[in-house]
Amino acid sequence: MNPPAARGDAHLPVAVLLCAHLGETCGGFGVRAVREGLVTTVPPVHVSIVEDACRQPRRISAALRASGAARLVLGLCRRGYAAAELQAEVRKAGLDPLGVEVVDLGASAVRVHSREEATRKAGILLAAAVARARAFTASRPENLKPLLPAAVSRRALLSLSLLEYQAVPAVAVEHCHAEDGCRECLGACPHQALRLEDGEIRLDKSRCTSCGTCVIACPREAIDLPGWTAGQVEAYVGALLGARPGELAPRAILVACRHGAAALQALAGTGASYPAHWLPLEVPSLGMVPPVWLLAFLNLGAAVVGVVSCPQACGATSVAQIEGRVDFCREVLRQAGEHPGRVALLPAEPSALLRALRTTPVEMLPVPPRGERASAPAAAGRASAPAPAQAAPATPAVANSFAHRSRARVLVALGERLGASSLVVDHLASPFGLVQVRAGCTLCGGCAAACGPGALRLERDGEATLTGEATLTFDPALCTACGRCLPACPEPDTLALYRKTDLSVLPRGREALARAHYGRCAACGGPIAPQPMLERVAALLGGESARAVHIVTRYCSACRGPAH
Amino acid sequence: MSSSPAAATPRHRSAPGRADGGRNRGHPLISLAALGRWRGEVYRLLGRAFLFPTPERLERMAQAARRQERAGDTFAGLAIYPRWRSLVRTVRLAAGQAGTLQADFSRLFVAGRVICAPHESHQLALDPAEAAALTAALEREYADEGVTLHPAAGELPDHAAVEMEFVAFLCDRERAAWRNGQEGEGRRLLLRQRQFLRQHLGRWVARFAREVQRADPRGWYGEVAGAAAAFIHHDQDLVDLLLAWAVDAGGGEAEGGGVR
Repeated sequence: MNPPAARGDAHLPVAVLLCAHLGETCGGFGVRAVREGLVTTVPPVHVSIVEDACRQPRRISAALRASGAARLVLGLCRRGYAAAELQAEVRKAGLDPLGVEVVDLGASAVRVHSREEATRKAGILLAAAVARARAFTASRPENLKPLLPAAVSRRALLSLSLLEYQAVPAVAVEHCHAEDGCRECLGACPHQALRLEDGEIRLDKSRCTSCGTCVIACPREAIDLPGWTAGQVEAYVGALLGARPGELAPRAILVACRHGAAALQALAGTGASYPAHWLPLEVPSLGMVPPVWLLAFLNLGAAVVGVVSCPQACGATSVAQIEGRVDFCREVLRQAGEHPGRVALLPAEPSALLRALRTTPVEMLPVPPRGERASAPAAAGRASAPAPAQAAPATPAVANSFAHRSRARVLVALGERLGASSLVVDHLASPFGLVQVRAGCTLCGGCAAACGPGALRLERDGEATLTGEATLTFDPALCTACGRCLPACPEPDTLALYRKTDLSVLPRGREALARAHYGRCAACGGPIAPQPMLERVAALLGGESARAVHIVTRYCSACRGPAH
Repeated sequence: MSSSPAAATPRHRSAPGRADGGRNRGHPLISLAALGRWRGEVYRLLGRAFLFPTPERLERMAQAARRQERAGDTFAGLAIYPRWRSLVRTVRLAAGQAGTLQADFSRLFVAGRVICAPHESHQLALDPAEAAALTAALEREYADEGVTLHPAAGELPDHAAVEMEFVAFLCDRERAAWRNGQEGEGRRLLLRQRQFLRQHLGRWVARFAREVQRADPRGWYGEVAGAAAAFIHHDQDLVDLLLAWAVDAGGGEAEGGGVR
């Protein structure tokens, strides 16, 4: 909630403050090496060690002020910290608390890896956090939900203690298409926290759990959740997978919701160790992770993507739904002749998770650099016997990989990279749909009006010209297969929707599904309606009155009257 | 585990056992009376910003802003703190710029190409009958709390300045209630504020602010209108939280709706 001047910038100075206890926890890690690595790879950064940072936010504040940095990354030894006090201190220093990145280096590095591996991994995680902090722009009051303290005494009743604020999604009214009838977010929210009021989508913060499902559902990218904007995810994942010689190659992304993260913490608590190439990405809920994201990770250079299943169905996304999304990705890979195990669902139960992390063969599943592959069928043979190879270099295949508007480009880029640009995946979890129009469409535009993502559109540009046409167009890259168009169509068996992803169709852009000339008014020459609609009306009124049919189909509404 | 924004995901409540959940090391608690006073002062400052900017009024506002600045970091625990700091600095610096602000005021609110009327009825696009009903309803609400709009004020009951002045008045009374130990009255006044904010200011000021910011993106009024919308949104959440807090402590009067 800083003034709007605070904008994301890849060159913002960042303060990286590390808890001094990290050096003493388990094997610790090489602070000096991490500092040098960060200064070299993600300058300008100011790295310093803060005594007891987890418990003493004022020390963080002092170090932050001394650094003069515009963003803050904290590397802490444990997950619990004085959040309310930290937020207040950060505010006093002139920064937005929602832009602060906190890395639990205890659970993700020093407690689960050797000192050498922990040092490498800490460097990568901190560099990624720096990138995400720089990609932060600003939060708004709508993004903040104050939390009540757990216990209240009589003294507290008459006083206010420091408040902890949690980030919640907020709708940018200027980008929202609610006025045009879009209700995607309302349908997606599993907690009924969104409602339409005075023509605008409003959030009931008391119901919101910040699961992020609405953020992903919005086809107009009008909902933002600080920390999880498309730009921040891209910056974070890009930095996680960014190639740096000699450091943890290949790399695998481990997607976990807050419950899955708890399982990883439990592993850290037992001192169990797993391969360091698993780089964790904690998401608000698995409901926020569409299948395209999982494939985008591969595009950006991940050798494997593991999704820790959530037994609690956070974001009200069931295990079956997550399995469906993973299965869709695996089907894409399978059809492309790639090993489907490159996207895997992992168990949340700690001991089973540990087994999976230890046994998933990351090195065996490389992405071949583009151009090295033969045809997809030829490559299919490798699926059962993948050959060892180097990790794929991270390629900036698609800009804004995690934005809704880039969904199609991510898949097309992956297809090209795998040498399979024409695959068709017919799957219940397909993020894309294909609409077809059969005979009988009257071009009434009902389906287009119901289409929240804007995939279907009725073009009326031809109304003004005598030869002009009405055209129903469809952009498959925008279709989410939500199915709202089907009940909106008044003609039986005219509209068909197929839940499938066709890579050859996605890049084509908007194409016409149906078109027809306008019927012209016999009096003024203006457009009445598309000709098929007039024919349909005539058929419906046929048994009523020939005169009624004549008037309705020959004259526009302005010219209908006693004279005719 | 991995990196996560400091406040992006829900966390468990802080450990019980202390009134502040163990989170106020070195930070003084803010009394509800002081909070009520501060909120009232901010509402009053914001409301007056949308009245015609005479040199005298701007000077009085600058004095009020200077008084508020003396609070220093007291309210740094509230998310609105940076925006409030920016607001009081903006208001303080406006003294002496009456000429410029008067021209902007006329352009934005009186006779510009696009007029951003600071009236609820305009922002909610009410027809004349609905607007009249709104005026009557507001007058009743004011009367229920024992106040009426002075005829010399020259503004309608649904003007931003009038509605914000009313909330400021409620805040003042709430502050007095807490100071006098009248907890029931304090809760009633918080409920009244919540109701008024939800039914009126919370419904239209954000829209008004967007209009002003479009028309005056880098100007004084754009900034103040943005701050007003931000403060009101934040204040709705805060009042919800205070009410939930009061109920948790055994007040029992407020019905649901508290944040969390």
